[in-house]
Amino acid sequence: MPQTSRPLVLLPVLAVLIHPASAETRADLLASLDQTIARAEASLREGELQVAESRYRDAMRDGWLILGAIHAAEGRLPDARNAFRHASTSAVDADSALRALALVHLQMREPAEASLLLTRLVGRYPTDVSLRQLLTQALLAGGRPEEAVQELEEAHASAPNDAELTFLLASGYLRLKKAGAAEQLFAALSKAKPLPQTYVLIGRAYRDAGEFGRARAALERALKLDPRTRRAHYYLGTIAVLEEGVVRLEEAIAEFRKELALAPTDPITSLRLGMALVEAQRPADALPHLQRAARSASAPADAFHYLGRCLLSLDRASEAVPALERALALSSGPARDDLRLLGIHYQLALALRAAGRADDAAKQFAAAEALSAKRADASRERLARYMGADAPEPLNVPLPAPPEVAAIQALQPAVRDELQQRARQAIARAALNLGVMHAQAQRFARAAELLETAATADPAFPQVQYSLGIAYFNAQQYTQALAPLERALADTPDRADVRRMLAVAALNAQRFERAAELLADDPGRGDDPSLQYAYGVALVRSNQAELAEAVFARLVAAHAEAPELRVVLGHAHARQGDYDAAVSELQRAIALKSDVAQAHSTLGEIYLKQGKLAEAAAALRTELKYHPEDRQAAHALATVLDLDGQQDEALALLRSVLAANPQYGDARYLLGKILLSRGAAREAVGQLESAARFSPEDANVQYQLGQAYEKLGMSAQAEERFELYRQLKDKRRTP
Amino acid sequence: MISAVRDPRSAIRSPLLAIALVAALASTADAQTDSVRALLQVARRQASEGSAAAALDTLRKARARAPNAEDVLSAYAQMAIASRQPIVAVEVLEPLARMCPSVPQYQYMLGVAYMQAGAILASVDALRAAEALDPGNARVLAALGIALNTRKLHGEAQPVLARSIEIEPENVEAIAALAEAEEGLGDPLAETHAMRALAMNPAHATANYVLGVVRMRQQKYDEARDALLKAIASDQQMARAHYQVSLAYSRLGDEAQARVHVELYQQQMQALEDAAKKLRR
Repeated sequence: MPQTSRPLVLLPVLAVLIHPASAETRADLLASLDQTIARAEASLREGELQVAESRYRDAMRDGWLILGAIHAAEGRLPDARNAFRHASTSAVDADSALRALALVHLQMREPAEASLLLTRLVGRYPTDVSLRQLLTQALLAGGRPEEAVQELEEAHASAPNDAELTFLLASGYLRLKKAGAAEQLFAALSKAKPLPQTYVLIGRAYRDAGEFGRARAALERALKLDPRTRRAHYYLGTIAVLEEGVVRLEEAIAEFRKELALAPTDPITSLRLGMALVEAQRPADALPHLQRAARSASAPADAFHYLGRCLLSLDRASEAVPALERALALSSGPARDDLRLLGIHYQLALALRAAGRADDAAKQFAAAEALSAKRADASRERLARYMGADAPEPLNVPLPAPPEVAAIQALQPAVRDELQQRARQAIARAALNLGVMHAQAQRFARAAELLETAATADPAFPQVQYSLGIAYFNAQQYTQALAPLERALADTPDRADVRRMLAVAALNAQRFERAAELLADDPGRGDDPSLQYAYGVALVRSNQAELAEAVFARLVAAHAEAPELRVVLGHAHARQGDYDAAVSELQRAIALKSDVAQAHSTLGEIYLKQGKLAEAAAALRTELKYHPEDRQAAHALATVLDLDGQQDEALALLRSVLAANPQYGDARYLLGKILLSRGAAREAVGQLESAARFSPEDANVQYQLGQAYEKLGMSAQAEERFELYRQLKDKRRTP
Repeated sequence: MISAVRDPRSAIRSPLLAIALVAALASTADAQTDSVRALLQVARRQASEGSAAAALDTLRKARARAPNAEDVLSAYAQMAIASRQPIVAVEVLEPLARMCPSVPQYQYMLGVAYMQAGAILASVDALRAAEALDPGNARVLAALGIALNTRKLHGEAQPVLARSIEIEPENVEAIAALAEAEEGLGDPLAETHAMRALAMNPAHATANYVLGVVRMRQQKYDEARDALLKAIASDQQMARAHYQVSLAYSRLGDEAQARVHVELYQQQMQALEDAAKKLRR
């Protein structure tokens, strides 16, 4: 049921991470994952497949959450986004994953995606203030301040005594320049909580809205209540710079010094003081403050940037270079700021030149020049931006890292690596077993999806490549089966079954040379006519006719009266275009066993190629009478019926084929083609787009899809498909 | 044609699969009540005996034990839809569709559940997703057409429903919905299709509704009232039928009955609004 009051809590596996990072933390995490997997496997042994599935899904989600947190902690946001996405689709309870995903979207400047997720989460947890805050941030980042405030108004209406919501809403009003409405709420807030810290928050909110007079008044009120109130002097210092830039630097420096007197080790105040001193041309005074700021584990790019500038001013260019390089590295994420980058490139260029590295300096000058073309710098603007940046706006606070990310950041790299490896193994193990369960239920395409997940998480996990190959093979997606089966064979070159399956997949994917190569040494080939046949066909199609002839001769000698062999020989003759011999073999097979599989259907296909549509239809109908599950025969019959002008029956047949196997690409293609010919272009597009997803390399599919688009007046899409068609044709022509 | 090496599935040699296979083949006759397998069987039996509430309760227990299991979630959602508990169904189907994005059936069920809950925009999105995954599925097309009708997008609904009928000519839901789309477009074929649907099922709610509206246009208020009352008898939650019948009563001078149905209409609309609010939460 939707939760209306329960706060959004972290899943147990990640809640562990909130505690200080340590070896115990890592061990707890891994133990939790291992326990979930062990419980899943116990359920599997008990025959409780649904319980097992459920637990495996929990394990997948938890594993992806850990991976996402590791990626986020290491700054690999696209990987983090991908991992959290996986986590959010692994299990029913995905709120932690969705929240983390929304955060990553926000960090990657994808506010629309973040808003979508957060709106749903806020709907489920309407009293979770931190979620509301994130949503308003997302809405603001997406240029939707009115909606952000509306969001807060709704929340405030349902919880009017919630101080945090009151504060956020007042800040939102400031953003919309509704200072009067904000003032009322702030007054109520300070009345309810008449603490100096309340006035600091209010002062900061006014400061961020550019209401400097009101801001100063609130901060001074805080200091009046308690002269040792933290952050009041700090914000007063930033206000001096924000209001008048370098003109009031001395006032700012004095405020920062007062703040430092209250909290001597505070890295952010040290940084701001150092920055102000650098701007005031007092680098020697600035240096110890900036060094202290840069030593902080979470030191931002600004700390290194200003440290570099400071060192450069002190003629210590070779020390400035690494500091500026670090600043550059920290500034090159998705949330990059061109103006800051320009400054860093320029300072780095100066430092490199002073350190005698002219070539490297030239590159940095060029980079700075490229950025300066975009916009001009101004020291006042620059400093004001820096001062405002991490003294955050209430509605635009820096995005909080999820607790798990912060905890993972604090882990030693080696411990993190081990954690990552184990999380990957857990995901792979869970996904592998889920995939196998689907395969066991004959849902091979679904199995392949899960096994792909396993292979993505840990490509080297035992059995993953092999199982993935089998799943694709059984889903008749032979081209996709090739790569995992090749990898499986590389891992276990002695496995005859893998080699054989790969050979047949290669044959079906028209990689004849590879098929022949694999089947050449297959020890079971001599006893298995279908393998002999496959080998023969592969030889014929890879232009090794002499060898093929010998193979076919041996087949006949060994299995003269086996109806299945006659069918195989019929195939072989048909493949070589000798239809008379093929028909003769197939009729002999039928005489030996009237319902022998694929005899009638092969006859039907031969008649089709010969243009004998009535005979073809009759043969294929006979095949379907004996083997109604033979979808290829049904598809062939639909082809014949279409050619014979019996499109209604063809359509019905194709629809029944697709009802049994929605992923049968050839049937989708034929259905789309017929619909297109009957003027139903819109429906044809659906079928052909689907066919193109299954067979992207099929030129005919692309051509028909282009035709369908053209009929619907979608010229650009049509041209795109025709171009693809031409490319595929050219590729086929190329030897 | 080569399609497989004998039975390629026999090549699966994973010990995990072997375990699963053995377990799956084990007898389930004496399953205990806390066994999800057994609970599913019980729910199936209860459903076949017409005890939807009992089945849903049993499935709720199964869900508590296996909250992420596809079979359990799917069965639970089907039962919730069948019992017209769309909010309950949506609660399960949203995560199910998220976990299994390639399964058209879940998108379809989600679309139907949204529609039952009055969240038509979301319903259209889900049904379009189902259609993209399984193009040309008559059932999906019919549901999509009905959802589009509900949004008064009759021009979009009409070709979708026509396609559905082309694929499955005897689908009475699609025929009735097509009649409704045509009625919305002012197409005289509406009456023909409504009559065709009624020939297949004389009590069909939508078909009777369309016929009622057609008769209203023809100023045959007695016939309109009768058809609309039949629609309501088949589907008491059909708000638009209450509204139309109130108009018919009014034309016939029966203001008391007109008021009753206006109130019922307003109640239905309020119920839909409440359901939509619950969904938004």
